[in-house]
Amino acid sequence: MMRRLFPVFFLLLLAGCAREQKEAEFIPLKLEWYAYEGAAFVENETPLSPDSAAERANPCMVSLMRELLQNPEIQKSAPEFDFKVQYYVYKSAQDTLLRFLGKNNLPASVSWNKTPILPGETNANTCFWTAECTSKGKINHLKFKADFKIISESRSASEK
Amino acid sequence: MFIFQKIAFFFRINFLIFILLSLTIAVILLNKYSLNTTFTISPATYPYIVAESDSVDGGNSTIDLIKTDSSVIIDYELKEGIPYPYVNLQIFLGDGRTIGKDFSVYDSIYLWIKPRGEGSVRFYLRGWDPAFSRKDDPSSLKFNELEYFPLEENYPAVFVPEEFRVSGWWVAQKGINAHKARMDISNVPLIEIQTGTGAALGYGTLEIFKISFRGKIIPKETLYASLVAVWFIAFLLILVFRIFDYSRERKINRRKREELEKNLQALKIEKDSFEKSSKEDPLTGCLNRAGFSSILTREQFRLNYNGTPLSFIILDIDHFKDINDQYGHDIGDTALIELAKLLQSRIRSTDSLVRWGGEEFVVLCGDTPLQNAQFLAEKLRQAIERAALIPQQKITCSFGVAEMFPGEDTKAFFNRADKALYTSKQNGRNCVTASARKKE
Repeated sequence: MMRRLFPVFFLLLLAGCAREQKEAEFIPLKLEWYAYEGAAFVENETPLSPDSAAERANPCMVSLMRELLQNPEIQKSAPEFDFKVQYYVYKSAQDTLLRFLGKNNLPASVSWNKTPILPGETNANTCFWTAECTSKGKINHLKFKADFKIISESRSASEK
Repeated sequence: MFIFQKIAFFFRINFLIFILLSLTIAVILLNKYSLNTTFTISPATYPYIVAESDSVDGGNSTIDLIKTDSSVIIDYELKEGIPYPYVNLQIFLGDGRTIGKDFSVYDSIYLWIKPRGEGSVRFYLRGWDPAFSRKDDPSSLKFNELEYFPLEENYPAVFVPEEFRVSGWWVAQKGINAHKARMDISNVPLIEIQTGTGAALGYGTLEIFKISFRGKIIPKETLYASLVAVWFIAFLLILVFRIFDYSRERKINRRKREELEKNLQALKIEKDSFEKSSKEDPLTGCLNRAGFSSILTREQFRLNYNGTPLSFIILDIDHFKDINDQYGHDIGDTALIELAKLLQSRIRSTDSLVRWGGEEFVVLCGDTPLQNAQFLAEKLRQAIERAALIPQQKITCSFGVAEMFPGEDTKAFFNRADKALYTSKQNGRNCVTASARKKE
């Protein structure tokens, strides 16, 4: 019995040893940051001055980057990411928040400081997300394919 | 100073001990077999001699002194008169009263005295002692007495000073204090040779040839005391010279040590300078790859053993070749120098700036995760974009950022960062691309 099983064990051992260790994979992640200075385009949100956004942005950028790096959507999606990231400060009922809007495959020719980044039509090659950063620098609600309400479809369409 | 050193050398302890030992042995031998002193009185020729009988004390004895070429002969006749009849020969020394001869330096006395017939002879060394001796009273001179039987002794009879004693009858007669009644021959103005105690009455003859005192020029005690003193002084001098030598050596050593320390300091500065220059890029003053290696090794150790995150930012000047071609290499060098200055001013003190080669720079960020490095890179990118590194044109840089994971091969890590940089270049330059690890 043992004699018959020995070649099997031997082959299993060889197969185990021969199995190549999987190399870690890496995703190139490029983020271009824009402090949004344009008019309000989300319902119930009034962007504050760009100066207050700049003050708040630094710790939030680091936190957001950490969240993005670990996010399963990023992890499972395209092999390369090139996000334009817009940020602005607005007041909510509870806190003064820093909102991030990110989207890939956007043209570089547009002035993303003035033009809002909107979800638009998404397909397999586009990725849109939003996130909020609290006054304590914590990222909340990192959402892909966000469903926030735009003030006016026509306005957003025209700006787009 | 040279003479002083010579003397110091002369007194070197080993040499000196040898000299002292040789000298001591030589002096002892010389003193034993030579360096004698002799004092001889030959009555035949000595002028201050007087023959005297007991008639001065009221006796009846008679005496007759005959001088020959080599001796004096005393012919006498002892007669009844006083209880102890006698005759004597007096030999005066010095002034004959108060100042005489010091015989304490001699260690043996030789007497060439021949009597006719049996009987003893008394030999007196009469000492002056200011405590009880008086000028006008010869009997007040101390009676240092030796009485012997010439026929029973060798010829000449030899005695040592210790064999003398002070006559008891004289001590009793003069009432001399016991402390003063010791034999003392340090000042003898008178020598007397007298017929002995209980000498038979009648005729007698005493032929005196000579009296000799023999001793050493340097007495034994003086010699040994001197030798001890010489040894003592020599060692005292050695001690002084040793202290002087020690002090001098200490000074010299201190000077040498100071010189050595100076040289060491200079060498250290030189070594540091060489080390620094070997690890520095001469143009920008940043670390070069050699300098980077040691820092990377340290940070890798921290990552692998403590899990301290380690990130790497690589940046490359966009279109640098065009700058060189268009404005020349001097402007290109200025751009590099100014960029290095700017980067150095914007990174933390814990980060290391390295000129990776050509227009490529690297910032090694210890204890920094990827998101923070990416953020730093973005800030650097913006700062470069805003700065006017050269007046001729705006300069931008593309960035690649990567975080090393524990156990990762250094080459693979650099490749990742390089790929991220390449992505930035591909995506239009002047941007930051991070190499995010994909979860399995």
